[in-house]
Amino acid sequence: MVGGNDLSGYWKIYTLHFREHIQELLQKYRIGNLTAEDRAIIEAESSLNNHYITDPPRDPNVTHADTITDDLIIASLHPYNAEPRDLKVLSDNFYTPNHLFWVRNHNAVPLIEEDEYSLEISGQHVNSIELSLKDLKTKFKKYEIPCTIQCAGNRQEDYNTTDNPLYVAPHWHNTAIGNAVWGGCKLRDVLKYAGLDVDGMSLGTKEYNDLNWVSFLGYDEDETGVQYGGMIPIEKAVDSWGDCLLVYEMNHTELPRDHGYPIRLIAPGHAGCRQVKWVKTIELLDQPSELDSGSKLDRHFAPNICFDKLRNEGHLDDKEEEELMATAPVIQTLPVQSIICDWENENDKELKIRGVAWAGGGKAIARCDVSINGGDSFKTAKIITPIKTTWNRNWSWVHFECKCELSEENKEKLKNGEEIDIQLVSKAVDDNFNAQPENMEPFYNVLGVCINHWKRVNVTIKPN
Amino acid sequence: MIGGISAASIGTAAYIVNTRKPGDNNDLLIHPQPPSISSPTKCDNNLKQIQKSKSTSSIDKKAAKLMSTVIKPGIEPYALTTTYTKNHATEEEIHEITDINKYMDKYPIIPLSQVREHYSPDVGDGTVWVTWKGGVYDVTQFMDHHPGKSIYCYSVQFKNVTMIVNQFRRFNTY
Repeated sequence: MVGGNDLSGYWKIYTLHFREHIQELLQKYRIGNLTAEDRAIIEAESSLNNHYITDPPRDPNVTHADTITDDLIIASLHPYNAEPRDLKVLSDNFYTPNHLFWVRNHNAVPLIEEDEYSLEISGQHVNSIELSLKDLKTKFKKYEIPCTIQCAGNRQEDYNTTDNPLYVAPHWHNTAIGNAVWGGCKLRDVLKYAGLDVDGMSLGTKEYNDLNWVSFLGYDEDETGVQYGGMIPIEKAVDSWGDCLLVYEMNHTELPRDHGYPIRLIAPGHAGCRQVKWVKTIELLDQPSELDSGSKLDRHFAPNICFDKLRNEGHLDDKEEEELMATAPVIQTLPVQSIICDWENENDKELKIRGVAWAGGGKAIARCDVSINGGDSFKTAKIITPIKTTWNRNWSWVHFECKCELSEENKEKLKNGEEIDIQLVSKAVDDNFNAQPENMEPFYNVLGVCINHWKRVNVTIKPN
Repeated sequence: MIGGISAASIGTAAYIVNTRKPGDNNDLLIHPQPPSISSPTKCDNNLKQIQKSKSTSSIDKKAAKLMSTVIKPGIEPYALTTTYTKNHATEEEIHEITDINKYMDKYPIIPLSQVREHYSPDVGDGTVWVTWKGGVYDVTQFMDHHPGKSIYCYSVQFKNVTMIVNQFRRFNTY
């Protein structure tokens, strides 16, 4: 489409390219100039039909990527990516309100009529069937499961430093994480209905060597018809304690269009990129699907792999690069995470610090430690959750709260009416006793996923 | 809008606006201030230097030599700037922040007809070119790493049209 053409029409819609480091990157590929006349001709011709007209109505004040509204930071309008602006949204609500829940779309939001919706199931060891929305709501038992979803790339903005700019979207700040009650039918029940012996597989009386993946494709597609897709392992899909759902409700209301109306996959404990929205097809596969968007977007590389190397600037030949891409693991579950959301000065003596902590794969938060001196010393926070802790089924985040006593020196300063500058740190530990890494650098990865180094917040405390 | 957020939403604590170290996160509740366009950036300084060097007589010869050199894509003609503004900008603003035409003299003029020939990796020499603000770019190497890969070249005619038709059909039935 844009080959042999001018970018202006395309970037009128994809405004997220108006960022200094992206403009600079483009200069690396410059080979020539147009005359002024030719430039005028080609620019006049360049236009891209706005694919996003089917999106729900957006805030008209959003003029460019990374716009801040009263409630949200809109990382990009096309496709729509937004996170709550105020971190207290996370720490004040155990269940994030739907309108403040982060949204990561890869394409335009498809417009799907309730009675037109159809879900196709096909592949290894199942009968090819089609189900309507009514089928999904009436033929299967409804379950409600509280589950946190975090984008694999949450906290990406931390990676975007001046000497190492990040070239992946959408540059989340902190809040691409939210918790909700999801209501729908169990994926394993639907697969069972399609003929798969899920009970036999769970009990170990039935084994299929040629069935390893469940691939999901969404109704959303880009301008050329490429759909968003994601895969989960078959073990997760058939596990009765895996709690995979095909949901039609979010926080007891109809699933909003931005969150996948009418049907979205919820694979609890897995990264947001696996929770395919607007599910159109489910395919049971032996080998990983080439249509899996995560195989391009959500791989984890070693810190020495930089964008230049991926860009094949003479460092690697095509085959080597292909091998490198193929061997880097694709993200399914995410590492342990904690985010400081709020703090208060209590009588110039203590700081009350609140936040959220979550671990992928259903692991529980065993502990969350908080520091008010940049990580020199820690105090264990109180874990607050209305949900019973289980073994490997802890899909929801927990809130933490910690009262940390200020040092005598700082207390004295506040008493004398002076401000103090300190660094708050949080560090969660899951029940495998894996802890968040102290520093970003050893875990830097070029695609900006699984970002969970200590959350550091520099604050100035004023006297009460 | 940004100024109004600050004190009210964070109670007794306030932010230190300081230099950003890797891994630090001091933009918790307040989004950093968008770059001031009027203040000189490093790009402006580079531009001034280039303008300065233009006054020397050797510039024409130098430019002529560069134009005759085949510049391979992927090889940097200059060092990237190391100061980036953090935020996105509007289309107008980004032109003031990054004057991409400051390197214009280094490249030859390419006729439009030649640009149009490079629309797909499946035709001609297999390179894909695009233009932006009067510059011509060979993005063949970059395409595979761009999230919107398919937008560059695939389905030049047919699929595109059906997509648009489908889109309107769906829109109209709403």
